[in-house]
Amino acid sequence: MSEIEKGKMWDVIVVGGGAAGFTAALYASRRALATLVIAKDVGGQALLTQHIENYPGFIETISGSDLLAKFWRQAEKHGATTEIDEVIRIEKSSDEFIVRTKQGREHQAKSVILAFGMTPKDMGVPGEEKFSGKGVHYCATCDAPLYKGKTVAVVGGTNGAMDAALFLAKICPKVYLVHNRAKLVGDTNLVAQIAASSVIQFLPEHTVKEVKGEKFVTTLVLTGSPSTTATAGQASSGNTIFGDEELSVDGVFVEMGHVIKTECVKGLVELDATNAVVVNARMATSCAGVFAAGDLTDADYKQVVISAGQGAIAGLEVYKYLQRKAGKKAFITNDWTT
Amino acid sequence: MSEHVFTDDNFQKEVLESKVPVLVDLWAPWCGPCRMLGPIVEELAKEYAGKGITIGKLNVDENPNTATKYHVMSIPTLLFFKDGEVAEQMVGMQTREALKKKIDELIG
Repeated sequence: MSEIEKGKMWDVIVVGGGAAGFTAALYASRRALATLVIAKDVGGQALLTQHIENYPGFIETISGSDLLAKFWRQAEKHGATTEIDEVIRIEKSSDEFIVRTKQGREHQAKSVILAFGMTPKDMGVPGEEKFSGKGVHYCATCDAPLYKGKTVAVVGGTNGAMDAALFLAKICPKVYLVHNRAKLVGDTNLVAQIAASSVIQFLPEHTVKEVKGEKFVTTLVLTGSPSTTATAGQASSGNTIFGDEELSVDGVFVEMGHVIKTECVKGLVELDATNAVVVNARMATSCAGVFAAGDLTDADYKQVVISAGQGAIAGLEVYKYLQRKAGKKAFITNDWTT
Repeated sequence: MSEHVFTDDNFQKEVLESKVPVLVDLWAPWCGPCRMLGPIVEELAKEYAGKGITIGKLNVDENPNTATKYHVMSIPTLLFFKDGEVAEQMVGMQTREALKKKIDELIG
């Protein structure tokens, strides 16, 4: 908190530190707006891509992390400040916004840009949060190599889950693939590789009930359907109807896809049926002073260049909004006119 | 001197037996967040050179023993050592300001 003045009124708070967020912060800070970026993680989904070949200007491939490191550095070079924290609530208070975070901080701003993208879907079971980063992981690409020689479980049935299981099978003696449906549906090549693997044990029609351990994860508790529980031959002697199964594991990789987590703005801005933030062509949401950019919007394409473009619009529109609010001329006309 | 490179072989001498606090950035080339944090740690290594702390990195792929010993399960992980013991641990992305604050606390 030392660098952030208590009670400071920011011109704009950008929520999210990916391509959209840092571009919005770059454009806002270049307009001399006091700009704070609050991000749970920095880099966003671009970090999952080793080789980006379609970001204009980089003829040779660039990794997502190298590209986003440049985005971050450029935004800060022009004056934006970054805080690593998670925004849990944004409220409108008369003409301003109160942004509350998980670490108990409260920031004030004249405007907000939502750019927190998509979040890995969690299991929503006991023990999951406690062991997050200490045995429960949401990015196999990031953390799987640390589980070399260990027993792990992958939860999910997406192509990402199959990819993760196949990668882990190369370095681990035993990999469980836990899926709540009867069959894996997705890339047929991946499904065939899973079926052929002697390391991967597929557990269909099982759901995760709990993650257990002491300091680190030791056990994954599953609930199976009647048929599969019978197959597994591990019907519980307890009171549960179908029985629980306990797997001894060192790590759990949750690969259930991504969702837009918009709890922090529920009631503040309009969301569509998929939970995406509804924006107009100027990246304005239904709430005056709140703009949005990137993967959390209802735009059809989830691409770095599109997120960056939307972020640029949001940054410029925030400037225009604040100028107008202050009774000044906006000074940004269409930039192709004189 | 700027950033040090720690290994399983030199860890005992350069980190655990160090007379000054040591900040170790555990990373790997395949880890996206590590590659974003790396330049910040490098800058701080230069900035704090000769100021009572050693700052360096350890590649967990090439030095698995140290990563295992300290139960590193997610990277980037930053371990702050003082008198051979872990005084502080930070997991995941950090800002330059947050790191500086932690370093100043440690050497203060």
